Amino acid sequence: MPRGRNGTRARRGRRLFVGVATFAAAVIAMVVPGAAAQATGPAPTVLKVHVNLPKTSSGLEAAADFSNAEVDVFYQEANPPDSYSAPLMGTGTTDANGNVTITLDTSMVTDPADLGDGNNNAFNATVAAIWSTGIGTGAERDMILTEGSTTPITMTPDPSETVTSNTSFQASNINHHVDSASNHVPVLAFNVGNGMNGDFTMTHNTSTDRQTKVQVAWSYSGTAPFSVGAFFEEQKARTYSTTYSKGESYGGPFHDYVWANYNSWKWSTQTCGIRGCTRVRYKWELHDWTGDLTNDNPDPSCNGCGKIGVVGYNVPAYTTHSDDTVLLSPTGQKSATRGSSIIYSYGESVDFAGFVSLSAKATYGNITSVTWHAASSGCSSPQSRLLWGNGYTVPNAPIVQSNCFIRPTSP
Amino acid sequence: MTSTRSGSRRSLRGAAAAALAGLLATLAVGCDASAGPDAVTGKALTRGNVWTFGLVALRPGAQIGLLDATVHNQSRFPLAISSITLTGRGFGSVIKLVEVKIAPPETGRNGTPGGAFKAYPPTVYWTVGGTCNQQVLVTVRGYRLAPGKGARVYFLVQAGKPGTYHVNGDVVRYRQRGVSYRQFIPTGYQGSVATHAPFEPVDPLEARCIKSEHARLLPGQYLTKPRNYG
Repeated sequence: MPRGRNGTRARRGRRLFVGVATFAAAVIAMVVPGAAAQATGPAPTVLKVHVNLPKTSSGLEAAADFSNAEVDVFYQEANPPDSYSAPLMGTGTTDANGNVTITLDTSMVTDPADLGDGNNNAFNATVAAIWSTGIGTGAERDMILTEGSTTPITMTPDPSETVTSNTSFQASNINHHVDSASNHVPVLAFNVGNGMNGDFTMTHNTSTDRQTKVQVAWSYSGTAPFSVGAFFEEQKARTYSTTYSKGESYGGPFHDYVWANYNSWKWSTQTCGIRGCTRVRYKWELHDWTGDLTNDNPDPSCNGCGKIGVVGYNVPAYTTHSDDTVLLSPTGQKSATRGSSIIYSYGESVDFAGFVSLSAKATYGNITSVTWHAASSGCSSPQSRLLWGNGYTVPNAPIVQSNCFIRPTSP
Repeated sequence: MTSTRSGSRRSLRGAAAAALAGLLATLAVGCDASAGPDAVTGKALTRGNVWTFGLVALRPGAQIGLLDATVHNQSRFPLAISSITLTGRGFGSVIKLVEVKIAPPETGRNGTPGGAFKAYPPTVYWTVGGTCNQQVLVTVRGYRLAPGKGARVYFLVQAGKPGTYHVNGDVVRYRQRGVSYRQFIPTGYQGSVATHAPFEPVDPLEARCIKSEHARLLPGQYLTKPRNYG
């Protein structure tokens, strides 16, 4: 009997423990965000593709339905060698509605870039869609994807594309470095008013080393004219740290564009799906930063033109709410640093043996930042050292204005 | 034998208690004690860019008012602010929060630019108008933001023990359509607290309006350097 009673108590105790443990596990799963996800691993990286139908020369749709288009996704590695075969991240075939959802294998993603939100999770990829062999039955697109995200895209057949049969029946994306060019990329409209100093810093650290993106320029022939493709992250990890300083201690107020000198690489690329290969394409892609920052761009603006030189930033007339300014003062709030997730797109004309207008996106994050400091002189009462956003509050401004002036009237 | 069985029961009860304690600890970490049990991450407020404002060194006990952060309702529905606090390294020890207020959008003499202020409420001379402006401050709790509307946030902070701090942003709690949310806004501050921090005078544009606007100098702030300041 005693043993029985003790046995009953023990069983009750075990039931109590199991009950509490089960309850605890259930509550943790309900209440702690990500607890369930952590048990099953990180969120998948997914590409949701919709395809449009190929059209004939008369504009009619060549296929009867949307199904059976092959979609392949290739990883464009960071720090690529001169020649490489991009690994296949995923493949799929569209359904009758033209849709396919591909969960990507990201195991090969190394050294991802930071889009400015502090997460190292961005990488370059090439997506190819192949409907069949023949003219106008393929499409290719470069894009930046982020790990753990679902990205929707639509692929439309390129009428200039010709898909030939793939005798190897293996999906591949082969890349060869065939040329290089040096170009200055606009990365900042830098404003530093009287009585202030500004430090624009581009650097790298152990976790983040790539943050600038520029559109890809491509053509089938390798010569001009080039078409403008999607944005790609700089390919090679930054190895330099440069602080570009202007303002009171460096000759006075400064309102110019700042350019970062990058080497671009021209790639010869060919993509094959299981059922066919697209034409060889030549692509100019942003490769490596030389460590130089300047406001005096030595690149020509067009064939036969002189250098672009210094491009001043036109400070807009003050129209915003006067209280949206932020005061800097050597005796109070003496500095302001923008290391931000915002990206701002600057247009540029780039010479790739033939000029093409591209956009560069300057991303401010932990390795690309601007700090304004109130200098001890250069701006005295009744004027004030003010940061302002031209229609935005300072924390939300795409371009930060900086002036020593008498605070304007309220609207 | 009995002793062993009793030990077994104690161990099972101990395990159950440990599981409960673990549960409570996990809940505390998962929910963030500062957020409370109703912490759902919201997206109604514009996150804005990452900004860090650098402040002059303060002596322990000195106060300063900070008017840089914004709350902007980017959603389609109105919301009501419940509370706002700061978060980051050194917050609560090196730098402490004394008061939080909303600075509503104002025109004319009822508004000031952003920045760090040594008088309360924020007061500054407006050169163009030839007047002194003083920022209107209102209670945080219950402050309503209609869709598309914004306001600034005023933090009155006090220097604590010597050291450095890096407040990397503020945590805003609000209610919208019956649901409580919390959201991080990355407007932060950094600086230091030192026993012998050098004297920094009040900005002249601020100083000339303190008397006429009946503002008060914050503790540890002086118009001229006190004789015994050191």
